[in-house]
Amino acid sequence: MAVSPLVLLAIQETPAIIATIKDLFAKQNPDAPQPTDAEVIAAYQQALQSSLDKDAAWLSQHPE
Amino acid sequence: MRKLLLLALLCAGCASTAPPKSLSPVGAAAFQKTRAIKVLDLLRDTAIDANAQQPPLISTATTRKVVQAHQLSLQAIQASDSGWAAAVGVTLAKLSHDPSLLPEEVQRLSPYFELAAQVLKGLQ
Repeated sequence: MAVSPLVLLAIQETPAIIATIKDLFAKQNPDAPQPTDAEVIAAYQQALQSSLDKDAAWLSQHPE
Repeated sequence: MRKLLLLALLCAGCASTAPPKSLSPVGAAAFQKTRAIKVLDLLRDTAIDANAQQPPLISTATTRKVVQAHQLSLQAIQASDSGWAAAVGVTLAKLSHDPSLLPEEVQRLSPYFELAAQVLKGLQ
């Protein structure tokens, strides 16, 4: 039985959506080790660069 | 999936994740910027995956606009320590109202636009 592309997309994206929403709304646990400035800044720089790299890669693979 | 996103939208207005108190202002700013990047990535990745479906759920032209807007948004986040959330909000609003986007494409992407808008609103 053929599965609708929309359903396939929903199945594909649901884990990422759930993970993102959980991360966005996660409450801070006061007993958990608190991140340092260095850790947070490093995470930000990594997220930024890898995301920009993905943009550049997709755009180079799909020229106008 | 639509119900999940709707629930997230309903929660977004009243939920805010403040940066950990251990962080300095610089660290807190990086924390908030990372949150913005993640929600923008969700919009971008969904468009790319939708475009990759057979048949594509979102055209390559529209996906290119989403990716370019994402790129522009991240450059704005990188370039400034203040005002970037508003600038990114304007970029997304402009994209979501682009007349070249098909109605069904706007409908498919609108939950992600809304989620990003709510998160950015909380960061301003």
